[in-house]
Amino acid sequence: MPIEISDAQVLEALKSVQDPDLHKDIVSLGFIQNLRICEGTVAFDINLTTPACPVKELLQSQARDAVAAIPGVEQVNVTMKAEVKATKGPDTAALKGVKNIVAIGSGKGGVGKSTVAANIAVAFAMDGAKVGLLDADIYGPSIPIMMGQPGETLIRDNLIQPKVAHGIKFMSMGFFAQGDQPLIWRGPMAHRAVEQCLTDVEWGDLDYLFVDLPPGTGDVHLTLVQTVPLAGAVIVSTPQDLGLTISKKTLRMLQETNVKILGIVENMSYYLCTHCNERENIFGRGGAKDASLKMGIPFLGEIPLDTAIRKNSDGGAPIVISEPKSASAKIYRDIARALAAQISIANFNSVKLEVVEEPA
Amino acid sequence: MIAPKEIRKQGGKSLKITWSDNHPSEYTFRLLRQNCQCAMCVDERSGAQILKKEEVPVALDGLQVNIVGNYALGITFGDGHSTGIFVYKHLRKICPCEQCKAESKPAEAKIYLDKEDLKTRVD
Repeated sequence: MPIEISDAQVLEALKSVQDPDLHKDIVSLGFIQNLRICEGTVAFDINLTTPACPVKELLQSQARDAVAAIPGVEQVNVTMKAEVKATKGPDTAALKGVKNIVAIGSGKGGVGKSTVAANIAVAFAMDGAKVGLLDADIYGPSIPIMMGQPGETLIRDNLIQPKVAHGIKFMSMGFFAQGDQPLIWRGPMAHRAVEQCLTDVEWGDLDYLFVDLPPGTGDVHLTLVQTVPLAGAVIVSTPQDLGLTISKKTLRMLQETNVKILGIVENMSYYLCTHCNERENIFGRGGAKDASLKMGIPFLGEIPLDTAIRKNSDGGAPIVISEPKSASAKIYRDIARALAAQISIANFNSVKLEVVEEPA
Repeated sequence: MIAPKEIRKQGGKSLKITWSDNHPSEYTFRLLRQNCQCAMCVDERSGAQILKKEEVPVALDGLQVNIVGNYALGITFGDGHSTGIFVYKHLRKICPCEQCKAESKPAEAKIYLDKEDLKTRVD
């Protein structure tokens, strides 16, 4: 006669498994779904807040072990699922299918912001998320080349159709001026263009929309923070003091407008010599990490200076997808997952704000 | 950073905000209109007041209140004015309750600070 197992017993056992980022057990968080018990076999789904969860495997094995320890359980089947939660901001009619908008900014130009944005966006898609990327850099739009899709966009039903490559949808300021033509815009034009890229592009349903900002603290930044509720922002910096000092200006501007800083990514952290494999810290070491610690902002990771990253970007395919087994691709995947965790934490802790209308 | 927990537009007359630290603030739309920081009401460079506060009608309605990004409110007033962005930090500073008024009394230094704030403000 097999021992009878109850739902309560299984849930009690699963309560011992904690989500390390949200600091609650996975039962209270509502992650457990579809619990089925048939004699000695227990099956259930764990529905996470992001497919790019960095502790997916850990949670899965901990949950399996916890349930397997119940007397009478012979087999445990855990299915991992994910349902991305939306930023709790005001509902804007446009972008209603977009759950989270994340800005990627830097202080200076040339720190590799677009390369980081493209690789992170593709890495999220590789983990199963629906991803969009908006290249809002009016001065140096580089995403079309990195994604291997220059050329004009199509317009259907008065909506701009985003291009699709490497599993993500993307749109670029570069599509407004082809080839080597510059965009010579005063503030109001830049404002209108950014607004249009957010509201007149058929983004459809997205879990994450990344916005690659121009360097600094200009019109594009202001329009973005005033037009949409951002889930947060990521700052890309080089390790050197100068780059960092200027990055902090962008960071402070975003904080001033109540945008959550999700983390700092240090790019061009070091150079691994291809001949002797020695690590050369061209721009100094650990600058961004120290700064993020001081400011209490998550440090998402350090990316090396790697010829392969540059070659793949120029060649129209980010390294995470063109050389997925390379060390640099792995670093990008880890950064994407660390970022996904931070977005989930931010959404978990935020409250929805709206203006309530009362009669006089 | 200080942010509202709840925003209630009470008819056309007043706006009630409960802040993240649970402090309640209640503003008449007239008071808000008088404290508009837009470039038409306050000179962008010098921070000098352009709008004559006493000329704002005593019974001025608020028609619409919307949330701007994560950090401010936009208000359309009965006189058609709608260009101001009311940053949360500033809204909290002009809270008219007795307690806040008493705290912001050391006026001279505060006024100077306000001007500095204006130079760096982001709307």
